[in-house]
Amino acid sequence: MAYNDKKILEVLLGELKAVPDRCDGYQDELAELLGDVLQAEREHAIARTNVVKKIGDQVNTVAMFLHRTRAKEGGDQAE
Amino acid sequence: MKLLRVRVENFRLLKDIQIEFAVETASNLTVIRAANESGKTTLLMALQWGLFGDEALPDRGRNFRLSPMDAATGTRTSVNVSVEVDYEVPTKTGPRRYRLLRYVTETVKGGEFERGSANVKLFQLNATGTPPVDNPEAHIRPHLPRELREVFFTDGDRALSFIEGNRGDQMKRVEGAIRSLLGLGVVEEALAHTRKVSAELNQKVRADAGTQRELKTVSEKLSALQEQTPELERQHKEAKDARLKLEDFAEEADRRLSDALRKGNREELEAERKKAAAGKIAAEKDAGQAARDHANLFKSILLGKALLAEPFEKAKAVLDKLHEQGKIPGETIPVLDDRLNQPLCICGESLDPNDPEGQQRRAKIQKLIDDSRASDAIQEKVTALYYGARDLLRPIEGDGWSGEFSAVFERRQRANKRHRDLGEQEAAIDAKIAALPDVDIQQLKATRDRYREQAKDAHGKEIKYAGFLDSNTKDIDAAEDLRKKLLQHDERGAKISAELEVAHDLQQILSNALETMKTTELHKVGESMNTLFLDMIGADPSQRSIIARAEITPDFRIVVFGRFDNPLDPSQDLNGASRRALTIAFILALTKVSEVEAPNVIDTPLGMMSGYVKREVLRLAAEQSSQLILFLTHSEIAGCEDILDERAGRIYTLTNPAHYPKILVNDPGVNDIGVLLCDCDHRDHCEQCERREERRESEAVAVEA
Repeated sequence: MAYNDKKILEVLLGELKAVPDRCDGYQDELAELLGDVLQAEREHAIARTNVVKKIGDQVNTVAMFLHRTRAKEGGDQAE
Repeated sequence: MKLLRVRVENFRLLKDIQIEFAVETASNLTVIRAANESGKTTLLMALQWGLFGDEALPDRGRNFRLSPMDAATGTRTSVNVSVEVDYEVPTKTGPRRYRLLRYVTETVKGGEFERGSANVKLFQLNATGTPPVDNPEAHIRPHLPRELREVFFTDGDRALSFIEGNRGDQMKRVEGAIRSLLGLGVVEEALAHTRKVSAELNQKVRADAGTQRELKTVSEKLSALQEQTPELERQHKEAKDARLKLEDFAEEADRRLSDALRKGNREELEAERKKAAAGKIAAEKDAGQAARDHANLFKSILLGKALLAEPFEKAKAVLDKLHEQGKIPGETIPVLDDRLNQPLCICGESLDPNDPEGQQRRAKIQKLIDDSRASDAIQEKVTALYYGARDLLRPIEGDGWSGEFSAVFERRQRANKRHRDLGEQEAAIDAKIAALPDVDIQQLKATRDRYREQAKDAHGKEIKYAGFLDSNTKDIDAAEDLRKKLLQHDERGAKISAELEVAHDLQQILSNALETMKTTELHKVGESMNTLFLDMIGADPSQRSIIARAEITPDFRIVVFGRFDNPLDPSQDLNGASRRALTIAFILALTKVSEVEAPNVIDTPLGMMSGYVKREVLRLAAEQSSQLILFLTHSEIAGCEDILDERAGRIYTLTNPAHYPKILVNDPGVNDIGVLLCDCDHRDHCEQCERREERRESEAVAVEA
């Protein structure tokens, strides 16, 4: 009877394709983020957690990846 | 998730019952066979209490005694109630087994009881032992989400709530089931939390903007716009809900109006009664006139002619003959008298009285006159009769008296019948008026129209807020673009900008996924439900079946269409078997599309079904479920034995000893109130569970043999 997050994740990943690939590996990071967010929401439903902060941190992690990769890609182009 | 075993102790009728459930894919069906009042519903309730606690009990367990009714009738006693459930959940490393134990102590005396707090323990079942699991409630919730209970544990009647009752409630229940299984709720929550992340990031931008006036302005604008979003969504949803509710009210008022009109409109009925009464008076007059005409016919010449037709015929023949002979009319005497005054006879001879021959001739004529005078009286009468009775003697034209009699008689009969019919009609109208509920048709019409108007207004608001929401989204996108440009000036800004982009992308994905779930996935559920439903009821739309298809509308309503795409109201236009089939098809379709692996536990699902529909519902339910547990009566099983032979991995029979001697053949030999369990399957019975009906059937078979 457990929720089938695999199914929900399938739908989410299906929508991922519509997001622009902002840098190399960005979509993979987003895919992982979606899984983490889902997990965080499930945990929050069972025992209340600071889910907004958790998601904020996860967003920050992907954002830092995006920022670093962009900077690196910018540097490579400059060279 | 699969259920493996349940053990119930001191739970109402179930003193000590243990059942193992079938888990094999090919024979995934467990059947609990029991007559009415033999513990089926109690076992379903015990299982749910074990898994979900008091919320699974009626009125969430308030004033609901769990311990057996015969426990401690005299002295105060403590009774331990417990339910132990073994289940299995799939994990990445293979299935993991758990034992969930819920127990509580009730102190009872007579009809009174007090219940303490229930305890829950969870153990993992592995090869080395049964280690307890800490914080069991938190651990089991992901395995047993509360909101899925309504879908997976149900009974034939409760499942009907998806298509019966008020439309708003139906839609809420359907939406609730779909949201739970498809995971709409968790995605919505994630979206709301991601929006908060975005809002917090925007606040950070504002705080860091410092002297960058434009950045500060745009981030303030964004904050304001983002703050508006939930309020606009709330208003949009409120307007939509109001519209649905008002449409529901309008439909209900319309239904009441149709019902009332079907029973009769008082004003129309009064008018009909007046018309019938007036018609009755006219018919009475006609009948009176016909009666008078009828009476007059007995005084008419025609009756005389009819009655004396034979003698009249004879008389006419005689008179005609006399006429032909010239005896009618009698004209001899005047001629002869006239001749005596003449000197000559018509033959030219003398009639002179002085002449002897003339005298002789005169004497002869005088004799003729005298003879004629003798018969003159008769002749006069005959002549009068001949001329006077010409009408009487004339042949009767047409059908005569009997024809007129028949015509008047029929007219009279018709008038009497019309009078009687109208009288009956008047009485029937009176009865209808008397039976009319005290309903004001005009008032009902006004109420319905008012609801329709209000629904139209609410729809207008819904459209208006949808427009505001659209503008809000566009304004946010534009402001975000501008903010992004302004943030690119320094390193810190670029980092925040990246965070905002990720949060934005995340929101986009969640929002689009929600839309997909509400459309594509919902459509898949509807399609699957339709296929299953049509299969269950044996309907083939290409072969002019009455039911053409079933679907789920975007606002979560299960609707059915008949031939020519005419919408049918499932709660009114479908028979009991089809209604149950539809709701079971919905549950199976939802389980299939969501890919949630869970046991379908259904109490008396096949009630009101027979023949083909019953067999197909059972067959498809077993085929589509990962695990199916059914509580069936003997009559539900009848006719499906071969399907159970094939699909049922486990079958048990529950027997209520209180049914001896009326239902059971043998005395179970127990005095306490408690259901007994045996392993008898759907084709078998033992001394404990044998019923009189089965005994009669086997005796009949023996006699026949």
